[in-house]
Amino acid sequence: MKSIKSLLLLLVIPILLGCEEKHDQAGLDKFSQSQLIVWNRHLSEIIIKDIFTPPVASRIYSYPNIAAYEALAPAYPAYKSLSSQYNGLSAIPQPDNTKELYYPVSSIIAFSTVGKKLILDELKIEEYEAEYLAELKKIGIREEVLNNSIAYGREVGEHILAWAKKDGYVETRALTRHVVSAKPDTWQPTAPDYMPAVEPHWNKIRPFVMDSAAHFKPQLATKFDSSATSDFYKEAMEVYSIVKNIDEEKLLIARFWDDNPNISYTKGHVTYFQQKLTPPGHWVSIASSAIRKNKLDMMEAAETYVMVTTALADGFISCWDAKYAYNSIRPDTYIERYIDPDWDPILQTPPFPEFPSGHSVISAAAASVLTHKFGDSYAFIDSTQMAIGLPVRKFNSFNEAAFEVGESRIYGGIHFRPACDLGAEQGKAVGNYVVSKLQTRKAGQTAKL
Amino acid sequence: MFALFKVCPLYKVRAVSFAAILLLASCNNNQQEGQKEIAVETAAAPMLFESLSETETGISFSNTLTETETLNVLEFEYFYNGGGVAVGDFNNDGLQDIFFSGNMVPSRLYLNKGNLKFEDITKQAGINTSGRWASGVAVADINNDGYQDIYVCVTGKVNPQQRKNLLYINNQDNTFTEAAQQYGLADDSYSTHAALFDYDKDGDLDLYLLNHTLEEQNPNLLRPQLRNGSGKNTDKLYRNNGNNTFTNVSKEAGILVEGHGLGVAISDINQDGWPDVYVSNDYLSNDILYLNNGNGTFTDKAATYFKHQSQSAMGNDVADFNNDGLVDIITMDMLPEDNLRSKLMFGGMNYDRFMAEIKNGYVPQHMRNTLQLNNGDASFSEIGQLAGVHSTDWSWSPLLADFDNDGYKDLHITNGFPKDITNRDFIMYRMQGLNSNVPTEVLNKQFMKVIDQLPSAKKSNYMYRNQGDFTFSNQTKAWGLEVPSFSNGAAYADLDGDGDLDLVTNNINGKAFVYRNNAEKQIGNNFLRIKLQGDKANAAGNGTKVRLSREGKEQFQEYSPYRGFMSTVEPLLHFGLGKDSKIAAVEVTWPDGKVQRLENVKANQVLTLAHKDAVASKKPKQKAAAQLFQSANTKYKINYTHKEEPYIDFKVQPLLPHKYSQNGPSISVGDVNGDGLEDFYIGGAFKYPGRVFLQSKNGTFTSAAITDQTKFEEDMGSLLFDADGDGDLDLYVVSGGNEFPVNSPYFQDKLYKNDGKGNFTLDMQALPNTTSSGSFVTAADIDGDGDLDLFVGGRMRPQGYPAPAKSYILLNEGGKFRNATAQVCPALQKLGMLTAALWTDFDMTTQ
Repeated sequence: MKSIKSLLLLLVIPILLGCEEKHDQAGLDKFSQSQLIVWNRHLSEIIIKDIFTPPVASRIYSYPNIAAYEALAPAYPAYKSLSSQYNGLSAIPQPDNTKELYYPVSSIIAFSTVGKKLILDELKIEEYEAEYLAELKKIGIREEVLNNSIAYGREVGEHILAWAKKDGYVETRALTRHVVSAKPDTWQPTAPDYMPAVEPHWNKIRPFVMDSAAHFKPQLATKFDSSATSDFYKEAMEVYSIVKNIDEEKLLIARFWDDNPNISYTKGHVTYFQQKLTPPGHWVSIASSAIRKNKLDMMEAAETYVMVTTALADGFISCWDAKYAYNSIRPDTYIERYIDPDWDPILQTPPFPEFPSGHSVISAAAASVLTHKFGDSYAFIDSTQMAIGLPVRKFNSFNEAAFEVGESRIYGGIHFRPACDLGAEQGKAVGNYVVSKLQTRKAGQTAKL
Repeated sequence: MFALFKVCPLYKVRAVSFAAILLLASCNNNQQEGQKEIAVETAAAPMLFESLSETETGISFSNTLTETETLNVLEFEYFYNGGGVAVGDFNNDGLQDIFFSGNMVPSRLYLNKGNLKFEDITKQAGINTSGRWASGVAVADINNDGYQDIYVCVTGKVNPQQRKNLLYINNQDNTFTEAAQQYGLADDSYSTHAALFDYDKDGDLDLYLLNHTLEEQNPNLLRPQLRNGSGKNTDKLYRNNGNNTFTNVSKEAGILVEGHGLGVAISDINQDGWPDVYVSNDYLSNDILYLNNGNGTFTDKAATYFKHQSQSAMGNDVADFNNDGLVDIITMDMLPEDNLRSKLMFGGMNYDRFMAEIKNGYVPQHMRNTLQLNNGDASFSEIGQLAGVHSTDWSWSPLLADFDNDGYKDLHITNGFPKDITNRDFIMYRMQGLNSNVPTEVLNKQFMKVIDQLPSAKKSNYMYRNQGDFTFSNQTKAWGLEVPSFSNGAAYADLDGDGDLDLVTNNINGKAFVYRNNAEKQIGNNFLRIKLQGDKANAAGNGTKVRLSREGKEQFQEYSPYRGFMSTVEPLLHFGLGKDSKIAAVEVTWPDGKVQRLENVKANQVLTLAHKDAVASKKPKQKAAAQLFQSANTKYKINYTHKEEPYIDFKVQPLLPHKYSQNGPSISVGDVNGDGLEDFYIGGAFKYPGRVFLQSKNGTFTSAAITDQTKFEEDMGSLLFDADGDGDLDLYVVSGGNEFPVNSPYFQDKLYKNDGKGNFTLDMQALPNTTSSGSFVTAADIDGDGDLDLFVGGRMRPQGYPAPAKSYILLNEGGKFRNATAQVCPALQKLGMLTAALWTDFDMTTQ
């Protein structure tokens, strides 16, 4: 009986749909405009829960946004594919002109197809995708258009995934872990969890646009020295006295830019970890708010995300190359050893070498790209950290925010000044290189607002 | 690990069929045998222990804990440490009474009315600990009036006033008066337990106070252990002034090492006649072994006596479990027994942190129970895993006592924790979505929600039977003790006077367990119970040693009732005797050295030994028995230390069970220069040449490196054998290790030819290409041509554990060897990870 009933249903549904298929173009357009913001937020939520480290997070943001860009670009004649502009990215499959597509759907499907393979909680992406498709149907989209669009989105997504697969990420999973050195100037695992160093081989990841991981390698500013008259010691004393005399404002700044994705809390035998946004996640959030505030269309949003996330990803590759080349000591280790054995930094020291400051590098890189896009005097309110109960902060420009990031690492007691200052220079160079290298618009089409 | 290859018999091997029995690292067969054995025992010993209900005993005590938003395991890390049990005869009627300490409920005192009936006299006795977080309980006649007093330790995250320890002085009429202040013992440290002992041998009992602290945010934060008395969690020593007052003498006595103390035991560990103190410490802090210097001071010798300790040590017991007359030490930790839970509870330890702890001066610590076997030479060997008692989950009290009266002390362990906070899933993921940047009240509400969701680790306590061979068998179920509970303090006592040890435990959120021991009916072994009658102000005889000798067997106990966790056991010494109805000799040695020896003592009695009957010992101080083996390095002039370059296998394969890059050195023995004296070769590690040791007529050795070139191979097994039939011993050295990638040239084995005088020259042409990371080589004539062929065992695929390694059959063709594995036995090419092989003619075909 049951099988006969369902058979009947199968016959009836297509007939019904065929008769009065709703397609609300205006509704779809309105809905789609914000979808890249929504999907980048989805990605952030999953990255937090899956507990990815900052460099890995930057990789996870970059590929889906490139896929989204590429699957949308065919709908916008003014925009170019980035295929020949990224290292190793071959020509993107082009849509079949005989079929009717709605590219915003292809773009989101390309995003989700790629994103799903880069994170752990694949079911969550499937859930988000099902919700997204249900919403489209609720608004009204012709079945055939929807199917064509999904198919193209998948195709572009697979193409990007095939490219991503060759970036060295998988291979680096099996490489030797970082070996702690006994030399006095080197990085040591730090309190409270003494975690192993994160991603010692991240410089073996294929850069997105840079020539090599060492393309913008900074010079180590101050030679290690433990004597109280040395420059190195003085730099440590700066951190030490800032932390000692920390005020509310500086404390707030340190926490606002902490962005440590996995912080432990310990009470006796009870230890628990709490997760929050990564540094690249913070800048994706800043980019999202600028996109929303300027009501960018979906293509321009895709363009913005692609530029920002590429700058973040190359920023990490560049920074990590220098970090493990110099393998330098953290303030926590230095100060405890040479200045005050009972010293604790404000923030938990992230588990990797000190120089240069990763957050400084990638913030400067992202800020450079965003400045290029939105201008040097773009004032904004960053409300990213309201989610964890911290107040908003106001900035007069992206560069001002990036500068504050550098300062925050010193206030937090996790970096010496040169790591932040030179890191910012390095990041700026990476950001500007991304801007010069990635041509999103065809000749004669302005890339600025 | 040593691989010893004896060469001589190989000369005689002529034709042995190829039947290598390979000793792989598998113990399936042993396990099955072990199970069979247990099964037999089960049948022989049904339900030794019988749980008695509240209605039977009248004991209704439950250490009930009520979590609130401000008082819970997140706010107070020792919230679930529980309370103690103290046994003592408070009305001198010969029956052992019981005191339970309560954390959030008042402590209780139960009088033993006989026949395992008890009466709660807490109220009329004037004992009221409500409002205090009572932890450990020590019973002793502190004012020396012939009646037992009770010292109750107090802790908690409260103001110091509410943390003052309590001293209940016995008014000799079943009532007590609290007088800690008056006696100078109202200490407001965060106390876990106390032990009374006469450290200065002035005849009265002094008090060692075991402390922790709740003021430290993260007790696992890596820093050197404070050893100058400045730690808030430093223990204390109170000297008895002899006039019912005590003075804190911690500083001058050298009680200065900090530690989160969870266990204290008193014993003369180095057998110099002065009582020492063993302290087991939670968290990062190492355990302490305070040796009594005999001049009022102590020195911590833990670092030299122990190679490693339990990581988060909880309770301990110090007793001789192998009947060699030397006290051994067991400490508790948190390692679960089953695979799933042991992975879920995996501690936060990693290689770098482990090494950093050592760099900071810590003795290595591992998350498991440790059983330290006393070697009698100021050193201990840790055999917890060998003994089978290392994983009993979140454990508190170990008690070594002879529960089946067979002459060997068994092991009872309490465990359980109401909130499974070290579960990795909780640690990593349970706080997701929790917002820390909110007012404390809001945060506490969030915490409570998470705590409520946390599962518990409600496990059955463990009971291990001592098998008399250094191992224990789990009899929890067979002896009737398999009941899940959160048990903390525990004590044994013969509550019903039937000659066996009954058991009492203090449980969180559950009625206290009272177990009647039915050994007298079930097993019928004999026993001897000894009551001590000391002198002066130590009437209980703390520190007295009793030694039983019966037909070559020896049993030893030292009287100190503060054992396990927060508890005091019965004030007697209980010996099981098996089927013996007589003891050849009972020898008691009092703390002042006086000795009494009784011969042909009858079993099954309570024997009272009084100090007044003892006499000054005429025997000179017994020298420690000579060890079977003694170091002869100096005598034979073999001063060689094997060295390894640091290499961390775990950085390549983080899940390795242990390093494979340090499997050397190997040694092979033979007369290499034909002078009739045995010489030997020791293999060298990466960058260190192997050395040949030549014996001279006077028995001393001289050595020389086998090569003066820098060599990179890691020498594994070696073999001295006559490769080329010229009558002398040539040397085969297997190359192995884990430092090099697959197919590295450094896996090439080497054959050194002997010139007959013990001079070796590398024969580059003698061996085929070997690329396996090998482990050993063994010889036999497998093709019957009169020379020795070789089997070379492969240890591992380098950096690819546990993939099988290639092994080789090398046929001897006039001193040169040909790889014939594929023809002779292809299976050997991928056999496994070999560590040894044996040639044997198992089918007796003389082949």
